[in-house]
Amino acid sequence: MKTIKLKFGTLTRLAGNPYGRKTYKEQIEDKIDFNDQTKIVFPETINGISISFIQGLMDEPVKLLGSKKEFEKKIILYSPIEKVQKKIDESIWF
Amino acid sequence: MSNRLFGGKSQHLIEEIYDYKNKSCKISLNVKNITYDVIYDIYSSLNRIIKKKKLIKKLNIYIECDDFANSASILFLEIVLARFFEKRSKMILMLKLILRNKNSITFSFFEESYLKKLFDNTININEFITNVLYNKRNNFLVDKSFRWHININKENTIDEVSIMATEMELFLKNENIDENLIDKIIEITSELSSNACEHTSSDCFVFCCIKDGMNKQNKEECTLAEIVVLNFSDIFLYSQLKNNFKDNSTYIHERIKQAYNYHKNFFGSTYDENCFFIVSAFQNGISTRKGNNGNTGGTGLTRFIKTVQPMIKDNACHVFTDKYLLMLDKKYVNNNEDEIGFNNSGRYSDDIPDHGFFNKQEFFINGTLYSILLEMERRK
Repeated sequence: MKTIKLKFGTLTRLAGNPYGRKTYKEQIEDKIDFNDQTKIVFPETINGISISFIQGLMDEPVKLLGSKKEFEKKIILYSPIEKVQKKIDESIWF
Repeated sequence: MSNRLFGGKSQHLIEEIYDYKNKSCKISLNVKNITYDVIYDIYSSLNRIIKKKKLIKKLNIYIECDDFANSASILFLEIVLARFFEKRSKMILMLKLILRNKNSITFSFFEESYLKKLFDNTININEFITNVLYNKRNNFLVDKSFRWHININKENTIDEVSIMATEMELFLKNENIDENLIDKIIEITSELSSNACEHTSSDCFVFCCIKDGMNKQNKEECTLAEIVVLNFSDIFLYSQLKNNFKDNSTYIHERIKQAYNYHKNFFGSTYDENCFFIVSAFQNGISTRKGNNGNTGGTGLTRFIKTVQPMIKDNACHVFTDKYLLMLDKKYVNNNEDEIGFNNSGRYSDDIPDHGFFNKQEFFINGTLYSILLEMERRK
C-alpha cells in the first residue's frame, strides 16, 4: 500500500471545492496508483475540513473509479483527529 | 466588486435639501429601523449627489433611528458610504447618527463598527474607506467581531477560504465557543463564502460576531452567533443554474427537469422562474460547476441548510439575492433527508415553497447576501 502524506503549512482548516481540486493536482495526482491501494494522510494539525474540500479533493478519483465499492478498495483517507476522520467519512458520499 | 450595489424602485424615505448657493446638501432621515430598503434610499440619494459634482461640495448626513435591523445592515451602510466617499474624496462632510435603542444585540456590534468610529470622528474618511473596502481582515482578537475580505483579484486566492477558516477558529476560541459549535460556524461561513467566490468570481465580505442574549420565549440565557456573507455581482444565486437549464448543451440534473415541469404550473407574479432556480440551488447534488455530473459537488448549500436548521433564530435569518428576500425560518427549513422544499411538506419535486418563504422586493441588491443568526446554549 502506498502512503501520501498531505502538507498544508500553517493551515488548521481546509475549505472550498477549488482548493480540494488544487490539492489533488499538486499533492496526489502524480503519486497515486489506481492499481494498488493508496492511503492519503492528513496532518494532525488539520482540525476541521469542509465537505466541499473533500468533494473537490476526491472528484477525480470518484469519476475514475466509478463506484463506492471500487473507491473504498483503492483509497483510504486518514486523519489522526477523530472528528476530522468522521467528517471525511460522511463527506465523500454526502 | 460590481460598480452597482442596488437598483429598482426607491421609497423616497430620505429628505434631501439642496443649498446651491453654498454648494451644500443635507440628507436626513428619521426611521424606526435601518433596513435594506432604507439603505437603498440612502444609496440613491448619494448617487444623485455624485451626479451634481460641481454643484455640491459640502454634505451633511443626519440619521436618526431606533436601531439597525441587523448587523448586515450596518455592514451594508458602511460599504455604501465608503464607496461614495471614495468617489467624492474632497467633499466636506458633517455626519450625525442617533440610535435610540441602546439595548439591542445589533447595538453592541454598532458600538464596535467602523460606522460608529466614522460618525464619532475616531477614524478619518481615508481610514474608513481602507478598513471597509480594502483591508483583508480586522483586528478580530481586539474588535469583538470577525471581518474578512476575500479579494478574488489577488493571486493565490484559491486557499483564501481555508486561511479565513483557520483565522476564524482563533476568533471563536477567543470568544469561548464550544469546539463543536466552532466547527459548525466555520462550516457555514466557509461553504457560503467559497460558493460565492467560485460561482460569481467576485469579492466576498465575511462577518461574524458572538453576543450573549436572552431567549424571549423560554426566558433562558443564550449565546447568539451572527454571520453575514455578502458579495456584489451581476450573477445572482439562481443565474448559473437558470442559464445551464436554458442551454441544452450543459448537463442538468434530471431532478431539476422533473421539478421544473411541476413548478412551472405555479409561476406567476410572486413565485417565478428565478425563485424556482434559487430553491433548486439548495438541493443536494445540484452543481453548476463545469463538468459536474452530480457525483460530487453541489453539496455546499445543502450542507449549510442542514447545519443551520437546528440553531436558526426565527425572523432573523435570510438570503437576499436580486429582488428575492428568502426567509430561512425553522418551519421552512425543515430537515428532510432528500429534499429541501422551503415548505411544510419538506418536498421539492412536487411541492412549491410556502408564500411566507419568499418576498419579492421593489428594489434589488446586485449580488447575494446571507444574514444568519444562530441561537446556542450560553457559553461558559
